[in-house]
Amino acid sequence: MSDLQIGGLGLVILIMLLLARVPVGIALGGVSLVGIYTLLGLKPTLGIVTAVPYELVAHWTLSSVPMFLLMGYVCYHANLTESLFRLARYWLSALPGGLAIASVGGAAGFSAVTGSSVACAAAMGRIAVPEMLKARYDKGLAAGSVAAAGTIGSLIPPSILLLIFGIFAEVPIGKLFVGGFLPGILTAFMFALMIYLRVKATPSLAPSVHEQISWRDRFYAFYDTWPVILLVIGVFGGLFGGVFTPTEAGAIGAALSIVIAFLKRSLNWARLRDATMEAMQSTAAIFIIAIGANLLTRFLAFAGVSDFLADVVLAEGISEIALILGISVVYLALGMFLDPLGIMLLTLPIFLPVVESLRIDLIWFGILIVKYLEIGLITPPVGLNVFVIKGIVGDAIKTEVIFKGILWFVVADLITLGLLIGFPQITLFLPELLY
Amino acid sequence: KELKASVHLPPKNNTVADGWEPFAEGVKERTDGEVTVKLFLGGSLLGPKAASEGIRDGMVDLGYVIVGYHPAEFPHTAFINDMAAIGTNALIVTAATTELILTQCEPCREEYKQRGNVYTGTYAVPPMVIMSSKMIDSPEDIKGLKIRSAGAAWDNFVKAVGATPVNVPSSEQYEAQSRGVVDASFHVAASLKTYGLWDMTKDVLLVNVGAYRAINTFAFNPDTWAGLTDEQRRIMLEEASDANFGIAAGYMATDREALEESKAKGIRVQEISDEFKAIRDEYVAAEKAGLVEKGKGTRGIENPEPLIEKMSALVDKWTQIYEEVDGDVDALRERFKTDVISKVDVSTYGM
Amino acid sequence: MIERTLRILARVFGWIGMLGMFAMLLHVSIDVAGKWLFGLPLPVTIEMTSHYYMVAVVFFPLAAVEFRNGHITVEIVSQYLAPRIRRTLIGLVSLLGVVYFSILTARTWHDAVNKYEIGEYLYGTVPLEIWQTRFFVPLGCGLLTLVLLWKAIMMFRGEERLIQEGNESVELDEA
Ligand code: NA
Ligand code: NA
Repeated sequence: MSDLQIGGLGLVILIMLLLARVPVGIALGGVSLVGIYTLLGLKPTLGIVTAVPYELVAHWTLSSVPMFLLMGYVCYHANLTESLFRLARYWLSALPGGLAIASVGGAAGFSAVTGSSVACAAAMGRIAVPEMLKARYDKGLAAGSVAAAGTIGSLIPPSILLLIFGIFAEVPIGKLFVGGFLPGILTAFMFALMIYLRVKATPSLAPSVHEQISWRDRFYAFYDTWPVILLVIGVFGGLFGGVFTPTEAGAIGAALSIVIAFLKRSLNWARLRDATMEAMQSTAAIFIIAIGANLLTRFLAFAGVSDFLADVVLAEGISEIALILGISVVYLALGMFLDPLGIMLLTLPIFLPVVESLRIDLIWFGILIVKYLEIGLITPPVGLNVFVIKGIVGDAIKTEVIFKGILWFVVADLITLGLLIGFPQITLFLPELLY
Repeated sequence: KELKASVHLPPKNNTVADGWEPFAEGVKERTDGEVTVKLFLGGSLLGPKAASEGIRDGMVDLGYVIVGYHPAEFPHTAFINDMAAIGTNALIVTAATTELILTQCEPCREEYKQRGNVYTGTYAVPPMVIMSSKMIDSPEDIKGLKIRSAGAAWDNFVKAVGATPVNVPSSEQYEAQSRGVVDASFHVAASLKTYGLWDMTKDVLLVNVGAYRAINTFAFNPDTWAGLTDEQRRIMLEEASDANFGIAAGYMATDREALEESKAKGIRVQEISDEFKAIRDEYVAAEKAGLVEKGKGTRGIENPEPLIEKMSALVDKWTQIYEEVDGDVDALRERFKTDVISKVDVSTYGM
Repeated sequence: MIERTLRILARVFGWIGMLGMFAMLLHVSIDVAGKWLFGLPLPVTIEMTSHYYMVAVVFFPLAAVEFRNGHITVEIVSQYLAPRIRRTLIGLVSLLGVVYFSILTARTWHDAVNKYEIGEYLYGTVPLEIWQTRFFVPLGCGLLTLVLLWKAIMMFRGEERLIQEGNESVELDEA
């Protein structure tokens, strides 16, 4: 059996293990270790087990994940978020799927603060999903809309993925960031439109709130939201005012939410303890998967997936559009299994030179890549954003229900992707305007 | 025989474009295709901190190791890096460091042997400059600025100029400086271009401090190394040395280009004033004075003085040669092969 | 008795993890405040956060997460299985977890001892020892291995209790 066949077999076994209810992290890690053992033997396998868990976790920029989770859990346990969704309900209740649309809007706003999709999904998930479930929204729609909306986090700047792409491809980071802005807004708009149309067609997905709300109540609802508004101003203001970096924003956001909740007298020690415990356990559950996903990247690298991709996509004299479509297929396929960083590590060294030789605009290409990677975060069988939401909602919603609920968002994303490929101006308009 | 090589850097990095790629081509050509090197770039096989042990365990045959990540495992190399105040020209430091470890520092080679990494040579990075979002007309202007230093090892210089060192990872450097979390970055001039710092930099101050040198560019697995013929091992050493000079020259060229392009963008690039020179010289003197203590203390080296002397002597020697050949890279390469590599006994080295 | 011990240990480890959470929160916040207000950063913030707090936050709670069935799975097939078959499946799956995490535990323990012997530290103006944090990984993974082993035994004995404990779910009460 060739190395590549071992890689393919590994992926098949991975899917079977996942269906057999093997925890995702163990399935990913286990398959990878056996795979690497088959390819390289015992000593290298043991070496890789030793190195990966610690090196992956001991990482500064990832520390915003537990901190943003803590912020979300504190907001939830201290009932800070209720008011926000009451506001959304008062104003959007006439709109089909109003709360889900409000979550997408919230995620888009939060994207301007965080550089990571996972952190974005984590923060919004704890805030929005419980409120939607209370309003008797369809579970798949409730969880799916937040998991998908989280992916906006890597398009609207700041964005860790765009940054890494920029360093890889030596493209100006500032230009990339500006380029991600409109595609991010477009993504949010498509999600909102999709929610609206779906709920319009099947109203039972999101029961509308039949209440007569006076304009006085609607405006009064703003008043109740001061804790959240204060929190948002604190985090946004600090970031744009240059007080702290995106990673530091996690800890500041968490600290601020605790202070505000104590001031509002809606937090006590027991609730803070619960919030911290839950944030920490979600973090642990997510990182065990991340470790497995990292091992899978190494396994596929050893199996020679990169060469395979080069053979498949990079035929001699390939046209620009055929190349872009071929690359799309490759990224969507890899996105099913791997995390964004892993995919970039495997593919960029192969694709970048070709893309450059065809004189394809690297800003546009970078945004497309990040869009592909974001779609990978929500496609089965391995979708990190879905697992983040699952880690937050616990037993209330099953993993596969979230995946099912997200299918529509993937469709919306594919349309967005089509628009981005068909109309490069969407991406390039702002960078050309500003630079 | 195909050797698997892991490099965590992206394809356009100087280390890859001017080092690993020519190395791979050179090896293939000179062994008539008997040995080829297959590059895995971007860290798909091994991350930067896992490289040393991954090579030892045979996950790959060779790879790029930043030895500075492992000061406890490689105390002598860490100590050589502590000598950053000795020598600033990347080509000269490349030659001096490599000669020191290859031929004059038995305990250095011993530590590589113990850690299962065969040492084949180092390249040095050009000295660092201050890229500031605010104009710096006098040493007064820099006092109290928050400066992102290239790592905790450089904090002392930032403090010496009266600024506050702020630790920001490279992935957040752009964000941090564009939003004003830091006022300036203390790093190689190339990062104006590679990290896009020229978007917000207004003033570049050529303080030229330090030259990072804790690198084993082409670290071999000992079994892979032993499996080569004597002739092939010599080829590896020679190609590695050629490549290291290439990388150092490449970095210097990138720095120059970044500075030229910055000037074209209207950024001020200035040589430092005498006042700044005085501050820098004081810093360098203090660093040198603290070396012996640091070697004995933190690094746990019994007898650090001879190492410092050898390093200084070698920097002097290669400065002279550098001037003789008028900075010509190919001439330096040839001199290094005849002067140093020819004296390495390839039938025993690294085994 | 065995289970009680495991639960107590899991809880203690959970507290250590929580300590990591709070330390991270405080260290980073104070560092930001210090830099912004006084131009005085707290030393080794990034280093402590990455090597001490992060590693503690991720690895110490692993066993507690398992007790709450918080490790993420896909239930797509198993939910339709008869209880007895489902128990056997979960037992087997837990054994698989035992194998995976005992390899992780053994190897990272070996590594931690190694790093202890050489006294691993970070290069910098002030050297920061980090070998201690290497032990967090095998400790967390080790306890998780024991919990998984216990879970497998319970499944084969036919006791449902351990898989019925939910992770605190989102409340579904009336709005
Ligand atoms: Na963002
Ligand atoms: Na996926």
